[in-house]
Amino acid sequence: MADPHPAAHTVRLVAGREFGCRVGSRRLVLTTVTVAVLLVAFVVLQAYVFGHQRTLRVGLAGQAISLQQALPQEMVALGVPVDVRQLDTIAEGVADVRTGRLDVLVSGARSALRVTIDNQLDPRLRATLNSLVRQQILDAQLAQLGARPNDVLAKVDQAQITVTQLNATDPNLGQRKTLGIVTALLVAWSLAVGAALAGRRVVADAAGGTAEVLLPVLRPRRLLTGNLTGIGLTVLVHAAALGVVGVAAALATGAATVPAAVAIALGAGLLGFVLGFALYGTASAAVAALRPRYRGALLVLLGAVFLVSAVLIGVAPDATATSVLSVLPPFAPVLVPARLAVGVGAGWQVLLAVALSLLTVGALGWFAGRVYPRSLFRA
Amino acid sequence: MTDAVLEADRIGKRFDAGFALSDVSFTVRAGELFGLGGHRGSGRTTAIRIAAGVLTADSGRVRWRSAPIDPATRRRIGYQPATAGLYPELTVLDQLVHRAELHGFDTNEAHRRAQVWLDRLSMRALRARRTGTLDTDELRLVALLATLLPDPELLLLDEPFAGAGRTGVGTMIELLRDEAARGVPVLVSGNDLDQIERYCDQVAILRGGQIMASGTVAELVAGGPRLFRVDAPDAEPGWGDTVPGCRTVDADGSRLLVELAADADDQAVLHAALAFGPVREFTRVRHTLAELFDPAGLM
Repeated sequence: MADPHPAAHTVRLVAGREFGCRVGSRRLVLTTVTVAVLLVAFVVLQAYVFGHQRTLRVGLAGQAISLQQALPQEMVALGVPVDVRQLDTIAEGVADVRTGRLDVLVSGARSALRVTIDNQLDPRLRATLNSLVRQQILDAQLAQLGARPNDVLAKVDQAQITVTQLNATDPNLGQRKTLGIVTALLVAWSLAVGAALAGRRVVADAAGGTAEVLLPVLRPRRLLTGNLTGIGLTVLVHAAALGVVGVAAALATGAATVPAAVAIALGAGLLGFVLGFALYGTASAAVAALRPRYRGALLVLLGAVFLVSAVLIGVAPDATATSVLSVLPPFAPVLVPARLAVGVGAGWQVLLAVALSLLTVGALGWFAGRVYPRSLFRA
Repeated sequence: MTDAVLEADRIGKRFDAGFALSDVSFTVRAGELFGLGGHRGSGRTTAIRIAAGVLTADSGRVRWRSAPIDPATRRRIGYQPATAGLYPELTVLDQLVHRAELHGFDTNEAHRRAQVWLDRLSMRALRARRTGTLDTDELRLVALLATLLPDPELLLLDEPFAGAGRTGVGTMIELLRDEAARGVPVLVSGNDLDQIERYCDQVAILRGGQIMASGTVAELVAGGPRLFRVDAPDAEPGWGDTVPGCRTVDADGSRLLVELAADADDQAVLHAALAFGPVREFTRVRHTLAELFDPAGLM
């Protein structure tokens, strides 16, 4: 017989049993698959609907056909894709606008373009067409004055304003914020699942005698540590699977164009879960041991933490209030990875958040270790 | 294992609601099946928990092999709480292996032992079944196997037969007798005194946290009233009460149930009945433990 029950061995046995029971449980797998489907659906929507630049369909008729090359060049420079096609008659173009096959019909002389739309003209197209008309008139005026329009325009083009940028704005900030909120959501969801499972285990252990029967061979603290480790690993596997699915979907659809930010979000999210589960899992076990009926309160707290975090990340990820909240233990596991995904938050803030959370975990662990044994004889 | 004796010496325990145990003493010897009877709330479970070392007594002490119970001792105790203590999501085999591993066996040995016990009880077919899907007989048997698997030196079982049918109880009693036969002291609690009377060598009956009676079944039964059934068809009505030290408890025609005082002579009763004519029945009525200690059937 192998001896003598070293702590690590018994904790590993309990954790292995808990992990083996739960990781493939139908309910948990179904929940994870559902969340994965929702995540992929969100990423696809982000890529093809919310963040998609719709191509403007422009028809050219009559003399306006001369804009065939100039118009797409100008619009692409503004970041607006256009699909330009020539029409035989103006009437054909008007009919296409009416039926929605075209967004815009451009006709008339280049110096007096006429635009037909259904109900709204894209402001960037309006500016571009106005610019082209003015250019045409300017060319004509310059020619009348005996100047060579191309020389004049070359000089005009060389004239540039000088810009001094006081605050550098990340052009991908919007995308990073979305990434931060999604990270916060996934971490909060994983923590909620983990905390619920931890509380349920404590209650089931008391009701089923599964803990009491082991007490002669296992100290309550080791049993609790083993159970929490097993549940934490179980949810970590599911959370990691969700993270990988989300990252793959984001990169495949082009919804995320900053792979480094995605990698940081994934890594920070997993670290946030580990830290957060130590915090919320232990707290849930303590609450379940003391007052089983109130263990749902932690899930409400997690929901509130996520909502506050999401708003702060969306509105002011780098504000002082956000920074302060991010180091406080209830918020740190959700807010720190979200801020890292956005690309804000100093290193010392992260370290302080981790340190405060670990201190809280230590205190909670001590408290849970005291109240847990009492709960085992409730049945 | 001749020195394998469990002694509970004046143990007491108080909870917020009041005393659960007060000055309770009992001794379970090697090879003995000891029944701890009592209704719910009598202190049975508290007594077993204290004996197993999972609960601390406020007063008194428990000694195993003449020494206090310490963590090393606890690992050699086979303890089963009133709830089966099985994980419903684990298969029977995984359950048994897990328990054996926690008692210090390596995985291979744990598997071997589990297979041996399942084969012994012809339960191999159950090994891949989740415990949550077992019926009560199977569940109780698996719980007992999980307790027996590590070869415990002392068995402390709280209501091990609860909810089980006659077949399951019979199988479990055979297992416990086998354990006792190899010198293991076996303490079993329960509220079914008829059941305890059938298989236990020694009995202690708890009420209100105190022992109200203890001894062998024969001793406990002998301590009850001396009742005789007498059928004397030609006797006059009320003849029983004329014999010194004899009192009629019940009458059914010519059949009387009479109770004799401790110093009364049963032969005098027989002679008094014969004086009226033939006596068709003269029998000592033996009470069961349940009739003696739980006449209202509260346990």
